[in-house]
Amino acid sequence: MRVRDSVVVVTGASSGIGRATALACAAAGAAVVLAARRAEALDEVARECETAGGEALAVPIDVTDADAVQALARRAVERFGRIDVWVNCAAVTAFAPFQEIPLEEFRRILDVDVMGYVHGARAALPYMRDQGKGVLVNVSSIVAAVPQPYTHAYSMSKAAVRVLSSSLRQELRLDGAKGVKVCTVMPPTVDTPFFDHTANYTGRKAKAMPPVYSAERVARTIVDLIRVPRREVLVGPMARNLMLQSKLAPGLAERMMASQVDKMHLYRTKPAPATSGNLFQPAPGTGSVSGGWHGRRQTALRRVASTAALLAGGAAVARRWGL
Amino acid sequence: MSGRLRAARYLVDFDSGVNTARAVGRYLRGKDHRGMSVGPSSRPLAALAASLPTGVRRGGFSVMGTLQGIPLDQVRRISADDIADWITAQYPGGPYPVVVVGSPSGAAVHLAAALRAPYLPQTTLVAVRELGTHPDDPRDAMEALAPTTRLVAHRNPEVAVHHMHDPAQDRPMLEGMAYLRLKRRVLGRTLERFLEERLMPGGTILLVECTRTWRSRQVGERAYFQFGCLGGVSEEEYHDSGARIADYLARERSPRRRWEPPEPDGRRPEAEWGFDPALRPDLEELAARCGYRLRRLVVEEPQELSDFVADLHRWWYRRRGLPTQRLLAQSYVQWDPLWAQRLGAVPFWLRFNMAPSFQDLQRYLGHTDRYDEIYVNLFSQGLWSPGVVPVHHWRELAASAARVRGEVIGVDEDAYPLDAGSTMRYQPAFAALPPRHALPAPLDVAEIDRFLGTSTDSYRLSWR
Amino acid sequence: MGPLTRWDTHGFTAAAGTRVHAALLGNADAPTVVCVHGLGCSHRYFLPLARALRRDARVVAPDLPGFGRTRGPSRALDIRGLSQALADWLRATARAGAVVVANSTGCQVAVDMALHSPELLGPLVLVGPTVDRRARTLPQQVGRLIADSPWERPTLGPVLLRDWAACGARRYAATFAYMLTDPIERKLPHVPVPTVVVRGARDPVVPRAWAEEVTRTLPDGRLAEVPGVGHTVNWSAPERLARLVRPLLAGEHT
Repeated sequence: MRVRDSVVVVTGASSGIGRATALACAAAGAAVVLAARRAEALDEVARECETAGGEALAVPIDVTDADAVQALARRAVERFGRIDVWVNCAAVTAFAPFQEIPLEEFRRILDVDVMGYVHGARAALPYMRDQGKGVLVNVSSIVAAVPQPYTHAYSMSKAAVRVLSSSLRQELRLDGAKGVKVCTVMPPTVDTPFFDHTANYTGRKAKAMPPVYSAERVARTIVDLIRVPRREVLVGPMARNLMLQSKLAPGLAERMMASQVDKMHLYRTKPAPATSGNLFQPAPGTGSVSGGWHGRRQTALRRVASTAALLAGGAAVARRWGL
Repeated sequence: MSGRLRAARYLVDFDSGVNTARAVGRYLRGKDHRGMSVGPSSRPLAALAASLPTGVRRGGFSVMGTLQGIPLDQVRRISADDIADWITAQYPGGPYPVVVVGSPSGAAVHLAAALRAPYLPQTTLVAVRELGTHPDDPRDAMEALAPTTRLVAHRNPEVAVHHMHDPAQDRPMLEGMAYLRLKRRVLGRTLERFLEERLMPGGTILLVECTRTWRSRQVGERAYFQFGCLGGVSEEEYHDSGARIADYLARERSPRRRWEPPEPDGRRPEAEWGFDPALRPDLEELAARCGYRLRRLVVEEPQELSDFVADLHRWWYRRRGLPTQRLLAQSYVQWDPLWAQRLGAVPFWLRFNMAPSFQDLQRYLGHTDRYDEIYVNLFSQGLWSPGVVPVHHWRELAASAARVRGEVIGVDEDAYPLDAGSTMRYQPAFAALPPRHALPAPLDVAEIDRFLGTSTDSYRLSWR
Repeated sequence: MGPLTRWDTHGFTAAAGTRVHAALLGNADAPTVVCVHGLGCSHRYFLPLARALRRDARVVAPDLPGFGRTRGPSRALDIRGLSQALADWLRATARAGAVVVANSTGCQVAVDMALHSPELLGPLVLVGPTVDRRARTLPQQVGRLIADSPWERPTLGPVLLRDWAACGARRYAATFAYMLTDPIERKLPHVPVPTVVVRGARDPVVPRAWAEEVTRTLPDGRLAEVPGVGHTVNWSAPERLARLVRPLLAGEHT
């Protein structure tokens, strides 16, 4: 589906991947409808989208409210006439040992990350079926394939969302709705404010686990996905490696992930008070795409490093062969 | 695949709406309606079919019913739009001076043929293959099929879906399938376009409205369940079955002796023959917009048109120099207007083969001018349901009322009403009658006005 | 400003169950001219006409659902569907009563509005009204379109190709079928506004006899012929067409 002139609804559009996706779609000529809890953040994103070249509409809602999500879809159609793409991106997480996290917070994460996506799909699909065409993008995560400790509800939710996409695809196919596509995106660790705002009961400050990728890269993948819808897309070589590992040596992958998270996802030397983060109240401020984890810089460094390695290796080979 | 090919797969071949469109469509193309336009028409084959043992024949009716139905997982394919495509595809020519729209009726089929008018039936039957319910347990049938009935209604907002359950005359079919009758309430773009493009400027839309209602129960939006139908058993007897039904159920080896239907919550147009008035405003609006005349032919019972149409044919034949002394009584969907006209025979339509139809024919023959020849053909529905009139009664009626010859034709008397060859035999039986006449010049609507104006008989109908 | 002038704006409106794109060019204070494109075309081939009229009018060329940059339903719309979409868009953009310049199948769409929304029509210009009721078959129309091509400017080719790619073969074929059976001659007597029927003198799709019949059947019709051009007068002779449109600008009512 052409992104230009499409109407794209993005939940979780106030920060991170959602925000980057909204901006990327606007830059490609789409009309974007932005949904999240923070009205000022959305207004800022809307302004940025219009500068980038698209029309934008900001609709502050909480995706756990099914009626509000239906109203969001209605407003999108009233303003722009149709819904071509719906990107479910709004998500929250918590770092906590399993017995420590309050149960309502556990439920809240499932509510936002799973039911929020369900509400979005239920709102968008009737319009897409009527139109005969549409793309539903569910942003999942590589943790759906290789889950992590201390983030049980989040990992469960991302796996659930992957399965939701699959069930929907099958049902749509049986119903003969050939033009309506459901896609899953599985990014690895992304440089977003996600980690600053999480609930945390581990006593240790959370950080983005390297390698960190930029949110813009995920956004580019999503835009490509809209153009050529595919079932599941992994973003970046790290995600692809993990996926491969999970299929070939799942036990080993699990053990390696456990130790990685313990060493690299939580600071070893920085403590953090217990907090419920942005689970029930959105974080203050107007949001941003990047979380300051230097995703772009890290990517660039990785590229430089691997290019250097290649060149060094090539030079070694050349010497060997007397070139 | 085109809409009409898709629809052809799930439309039921013995349905009155489907046969209306097939018969009139073929008539307008100069073809007859042998074998209901889908099956073979051959006396030897018919004899073979009728000679099979009773149990096999009975099973055959049941199997045919099961095969006609579509499985539950394909119900989502039912599309009222495709059905409208199919209906309009039966009439490729035009422009026509008149188009008939509305509830199906065999008498109106002959009328449409006389007017050379396409007939767009409001109601069509779709059968759903299901083997899980028992014909004598209507409550269970209603609840088991309710999600499916609702699904069809939900996916087709222009129609109402009537789930009709009749363990009397439809019994063999009911063993393998459920009847869903789709009634158009909104004209829809396909039929609208047909009327706008293929009806002559200043032409007439003739709306056939049968006001027969039946008690029914709502199971969803535009989705209803109806227990029983027009036939040998009255509406009251279906809902409060007595000794006659107990005997019938015993004969059919049913585990029950009584029917316990779900409590009805309203009266709605009868599923097969009733007209749903929700369609009328669209037709009125279209007629006003396009400058067409809208005429309404309103009757309470579908059979009430039969004597009017018979006398009208007599009058029309007389004006066109055709003989008027031969009557051809045709039952249910074994109608063939081409042959009736070719034979110079006045058509009398019997809704079915049961006591009410018998009485209607008797009454008609009692007060009209005598016919020299009377021929009666009877449909076989596959069992002795309550009220079926045996062949010899029909023969006696025909013989006593006719001056020269009165007989039952095209029926295997021993096999009846389990005559599996019935549909293959009726047209050869018609064709066997001499002589042939050229088809008369068409009737026009003004002539109907004139006929009703000059006729002294009062017919139980309203012509507006 | 000159022959390289592009459209001023590309506007979108939520209407007709979708997001309708329209291209705009011209003097914002001037009377509006709405251009209705033909089968498989879009706003693009009205650019020359828009340029010619830009000082005297605000030219707006919407893309009907399924064509140009307006997404359409999966089932192609018939003439009634397209005219209802156009009517919905005219209401949503408050352009009732504007002068309407239609080409080819667009004439059928505009005339059909007289049956359900006559109040939306302003003075009408029917450029090459289809379909000649004596040539209502696919082979005849295709033959005529081929016979027309020598009389069109070659620059029209790439524009049309792009538009055909946008609408796709299936929608094109389905809309063609609806176009052929649409009885325009029955609707013409209902057109409540003064109408100019424009015909390219070399147009085989709309022979002179048919154009004259259309003009006669209209309650207030007048025929104008443009010598030396074929069916797509708006592309091949925009200046001369503009000259025919300008006098109507004073007569539009809102």
